[in-house]
Amino acid sequence: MPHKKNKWRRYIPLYMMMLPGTIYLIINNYIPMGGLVLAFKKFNYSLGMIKSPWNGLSNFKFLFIGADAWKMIRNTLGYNFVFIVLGTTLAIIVAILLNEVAGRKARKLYQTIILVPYLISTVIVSYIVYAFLSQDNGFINHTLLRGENAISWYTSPKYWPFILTFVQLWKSFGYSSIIYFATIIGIDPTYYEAASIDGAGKLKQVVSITLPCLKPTIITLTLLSIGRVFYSDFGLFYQIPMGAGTLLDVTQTIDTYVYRALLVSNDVGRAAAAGFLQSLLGFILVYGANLMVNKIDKENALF
Amino acid sequence: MQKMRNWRKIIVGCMSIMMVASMLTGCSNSAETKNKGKGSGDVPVIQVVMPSGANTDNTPAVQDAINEILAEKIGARINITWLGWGAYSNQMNLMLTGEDEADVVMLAGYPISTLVNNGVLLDITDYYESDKEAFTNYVDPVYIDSERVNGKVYVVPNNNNFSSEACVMVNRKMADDLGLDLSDEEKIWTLDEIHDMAAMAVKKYPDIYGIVPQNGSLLLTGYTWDTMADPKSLGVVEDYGNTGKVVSITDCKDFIDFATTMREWYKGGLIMQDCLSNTEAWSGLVTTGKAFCAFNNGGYPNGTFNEESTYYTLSLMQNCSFSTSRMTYAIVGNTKHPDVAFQVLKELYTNADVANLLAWGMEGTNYVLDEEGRAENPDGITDQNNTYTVGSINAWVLPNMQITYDDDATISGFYKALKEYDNNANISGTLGCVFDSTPVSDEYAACSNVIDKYLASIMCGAVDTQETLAVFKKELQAAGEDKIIAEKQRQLDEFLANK
Repeated sequence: MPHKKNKWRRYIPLYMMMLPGTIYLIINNYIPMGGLVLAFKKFNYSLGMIKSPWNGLSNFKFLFIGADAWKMIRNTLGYNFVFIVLGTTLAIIVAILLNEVAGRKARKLYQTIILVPYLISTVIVSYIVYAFLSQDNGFINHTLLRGENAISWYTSPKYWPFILTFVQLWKSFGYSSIIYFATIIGIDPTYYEAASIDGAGKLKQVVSITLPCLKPTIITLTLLSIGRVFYSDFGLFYQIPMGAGTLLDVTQTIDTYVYRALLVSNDVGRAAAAGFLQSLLGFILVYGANLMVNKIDKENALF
Repeated sequence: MQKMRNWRKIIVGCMSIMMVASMLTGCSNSAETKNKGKGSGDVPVIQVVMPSGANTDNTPAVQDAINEILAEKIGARINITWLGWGAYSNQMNLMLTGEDEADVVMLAGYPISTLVNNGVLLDITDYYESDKEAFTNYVDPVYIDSERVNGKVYVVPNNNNFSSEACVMVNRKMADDLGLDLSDEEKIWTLDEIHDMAAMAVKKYPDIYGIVPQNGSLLLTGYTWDTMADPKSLGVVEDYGNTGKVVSITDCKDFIDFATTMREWYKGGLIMQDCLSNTEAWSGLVTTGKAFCAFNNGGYPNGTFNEESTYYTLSLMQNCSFSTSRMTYAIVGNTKHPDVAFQVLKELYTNADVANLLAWGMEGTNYVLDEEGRAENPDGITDQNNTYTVGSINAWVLPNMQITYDDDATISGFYKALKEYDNNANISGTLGCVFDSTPVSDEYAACSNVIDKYLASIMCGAVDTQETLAVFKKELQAAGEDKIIAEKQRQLDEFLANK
């Protein structure tokens, strides 16, 4: 018994370190979960959260009315899967390339440069995009196409899946690259030495050493993003297209739909319903994906 | 080894979760820290919250001067909070639902019935009935009654303009250079005349926009139809609200005609080609000479602003008192001092000394009176370095601007002219019938998205009118517009029957 007690004591500093984060998580992420009950209530400010009457599932109904319902779900899922696949691939490639940069100073410089887009506010990015795409004065129409066959970007939905994907990748690849890069520099260099003695080329080393070592990080980060596939980056889908209505077929996601639907009526119950549905579906997906990882490769499952 | 790996996994997991969490919650509320004016003794402090885009740095001094008057007269003090327009609706939402945040609030763009249904506002019917003249001396009771919800008074409209008209704002310098005579203030202009002027302008000044939207991407926010104060125009009453019949905007004749005309103008290059991604208001483009003209909804009589004004206003129709969502003053439901809050509201509305302080700030520092009794900047002070410019920038947010001094940017006697203008307005048949979307809120939410998708682009002519109208109509119906129109009709019929 005394042994156990000692062990507990030994970890006190660790628990103390954990404390601020735990408190933050509880206040910020767990207590608000109580608000989910609003998804099933007809909320009235004067009655408050507890006394407001229940109204079953009717708060969810607005998400499924009309022709746009399936489009926004398709867009939300579609974009997120594309972002996960392309984003991860790009980030890993950049991380590997970063690792190959020999000069210390150059490496630091590149690290900083690729992180810059991530730090720019989406609203500013939307104006950078606008500077390229504006019909009258945009760089592409004005300079590249010299005003001939000018394309009306903000009224042509067909280009936007590519534009949005490009902007999202440009904005986010630096950040995820750094995470992968941090894992790569942790890989034992002797593996590479042994490999090069055995005559493995750079590509072979990447495929046989770097990627397998990156696997746990890839799985962790991918599982985390799978949990959020029913959410979307509001700034990306609302600000970057400048809220243009003509593009809604390809830019409407669950979040922008809810924003547009409830901006006027300011309906807390319905907003909670949308959030509830998003997190529930996200949870099911994470759980399912983790189950699959468990089946294939138990070692790397998240839980 | 195994243990180490698990630890690492857990740490990576925790850190990622926390990172994601902190990213998601990074948008904290940055409401201005309020200087909770702790009153002397037990004098209740009423929180007054108003939006403004003006300089308000001198508010503490203004507030003290107002409090001196109020403490003596009604034994109360106020604490003024100005919200910038950009954050207005977000912060107001928080304040309406918070504790002790606000007592008397200015509401702009809120559907009152929805707020009432959510229990946010205090029922002030009894206060109002016992002190009616305080308000009806200034405002025609028809407008106060038009804001009633279920027969009860929750808000009083501020004493602003009550009628409006679709009009065109033309850059004065360009119009003069083109030799156009736009001086007839009574004239109702036709779209063809506007077209010819804009065509002349873009020919002479190839680098400017001919016509720009009123606000953001919407070319014109209101015309001859009445939406019953529904910001999404889901069902409109044609002919200044006088047909008694609610129809879809896609069946509204004036809308279709206007859109068809605009399509021709757009193709002819008269309308800003980027208008769907435009985020600037007309004023920023026309008055600076980046555009020749813009559509607008004006509510002031033409010719009441001074010569140095930078634009002409050309009316497109007779002004009309539509059933719109007005700027109103209300008392928040969870106020601790309902009696005092109402007294404060009444003072703000009726006491010229208080109203002038609120509008113009401190005499000598923020304004002086010219020989005609109009407020102007003191010597050496401009609108930019004046520490209090509510009166000159947006007097129209105040409870009762019409009891304050005239602005030196207008003719003297401006407010008299404004009342006359309102008295001559057409009265919409639906005035007072404000649509409550609660019974059809699911359909309303779905249709709002369809409106956002098509209305602006059809209106400015950026897409083919007939083709897009057909799709627009189809999607509205799929989203349940018929049900909304039926409900709107029901509310209108009921209103007309009780009239």
